[in-house]
Amino acid sequence: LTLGAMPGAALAQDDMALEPNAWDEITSYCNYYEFGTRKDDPAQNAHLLTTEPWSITIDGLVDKPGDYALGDILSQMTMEERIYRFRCVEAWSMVVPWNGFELADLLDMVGVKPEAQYVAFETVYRPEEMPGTRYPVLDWPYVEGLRLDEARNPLTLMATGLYGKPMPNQNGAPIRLVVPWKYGYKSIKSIVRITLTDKQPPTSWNKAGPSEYGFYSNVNPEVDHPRWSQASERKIGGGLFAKKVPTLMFNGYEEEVAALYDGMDLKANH
Amino acid sequence: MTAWTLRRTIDRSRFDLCLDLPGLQRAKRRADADGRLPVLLGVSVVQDGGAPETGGLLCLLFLWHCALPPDSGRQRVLRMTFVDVLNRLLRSVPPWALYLVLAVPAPWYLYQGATGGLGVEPIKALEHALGEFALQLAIVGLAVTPLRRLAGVNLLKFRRAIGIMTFTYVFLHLLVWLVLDVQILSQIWADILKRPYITVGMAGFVLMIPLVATSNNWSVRRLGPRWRKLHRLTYPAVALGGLHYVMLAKGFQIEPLIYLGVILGLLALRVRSLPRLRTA
Repeated sequence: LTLGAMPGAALAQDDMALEPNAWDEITSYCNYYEFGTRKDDPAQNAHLLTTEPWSITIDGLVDKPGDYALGDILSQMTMEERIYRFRCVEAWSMVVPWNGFELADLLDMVGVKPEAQYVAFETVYRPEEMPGTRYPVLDWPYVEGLRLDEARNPLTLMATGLYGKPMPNQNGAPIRLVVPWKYGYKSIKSIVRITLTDKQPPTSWNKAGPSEYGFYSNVNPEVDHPRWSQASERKIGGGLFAKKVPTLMFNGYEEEVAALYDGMDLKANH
Repeated sequence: MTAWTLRRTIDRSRFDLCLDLPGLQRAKRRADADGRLPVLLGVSVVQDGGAPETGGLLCLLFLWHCALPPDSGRQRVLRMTFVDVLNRLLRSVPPWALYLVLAVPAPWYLYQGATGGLGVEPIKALEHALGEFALQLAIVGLAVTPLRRLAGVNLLKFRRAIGIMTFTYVFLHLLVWLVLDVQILSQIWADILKRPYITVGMAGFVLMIPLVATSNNWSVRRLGPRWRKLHRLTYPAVALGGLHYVMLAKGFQIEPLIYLGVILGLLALRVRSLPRLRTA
């Protein structure tokens, strides 16, 4: 059901041994700065967010732009469980059993015009429900983007749940992006807008620190973040004496995605 | 009534007077001169004959040789009383008690980290908790002199304990980073050189080494006036600590900036020309 259903799944890596992190680990240790910058802030504050009703504005270079109710989208999508590695730019990692559908299916549903080259995403911005947004930690609302071929890759998921349960608010309810070969901040949460465009869209962390966070943000053990090494990572859940493990190129999804970046300088396009 | 008449009326054999209490000076500037008489007497021990209820009190006598203007001075009297009571309390606390109290958080954090109390990623949490506590202690250490100068609160005898415990927590913070966090020896050195926030943090730590090494009576005696000069290293050391915190924060975060702001504010109080700037 999970990896078997995926074309060219990275079984050669240690995927068979991927042991998902516990529900409590995934839902208590989150980066979701709209609810605060400490790791436990989102779990404490995200209940303030109203996720029903929810609709996504899909606009830009599409055949059928409009506001789509989340329920209407989900009724047309094929839901799957995907167990993915999740690698944060802060050099920690988890394994998460997501539930969701391929972004490519959603793009097909609305029809992408041929001139479109990028997909831009936007997180909901409600200061009254998101205490972290009272501070200018980032330029709110949070925005992210992918190249169209990255967005269409079968690994790219729109996730609506964890462990077969609805997505907890602190993890990006009701619907978020999951791009498993990129650092976690690319996997934008609580999406309210998807825009197809022919220009590379701005992304929040790149705006905040262009030298530290590139547009691509592919997991790459050879390109360090200026403030820390990316060569290794710590898996959450190992306690006080958890050993570091080497980080895999493209977070272990090299086989599936390396071709997207053929001929590109991955250091310059970090 | 004047000062000498008051002194005469007190029977010295029945009261133990603390004449070293800071007395209010007669206001120098004409604008707020209100005729206060700078007599401030603390009666610390009331011997036989004193009413029992006065026994435990610090009695302050504050006299006015002319009418007290409405709402002037009253607050100051209250504050002085509070400060003196506080100082008296502080005098009864031995410095070793502070070492004991400040030693508590370290094993507590470690216990919390080992038992899940610090969340699912206890290594970073422990590292941050130790670092943050060290920074807080450093700020308290920097506040000792301004507190005495501006508020009259005397924490001077605790300053060595505060300093040594600050160093201890910085050292523990560094130890957790080395042993539990980075783990890889070759990477430790690379990090110190390559990552500016680590370079800054390490520089702060190195500056503290001569400070902690000379935090003993023998060194104070031996170094004489040079000791004070050497211990001005505290200022850059704490500033580097605050900068280290600001540099490692992702995005624009308020908390590290508040810490750095407080540190810079406390350092600014030591710049002599500041009062002149204020009036300009």
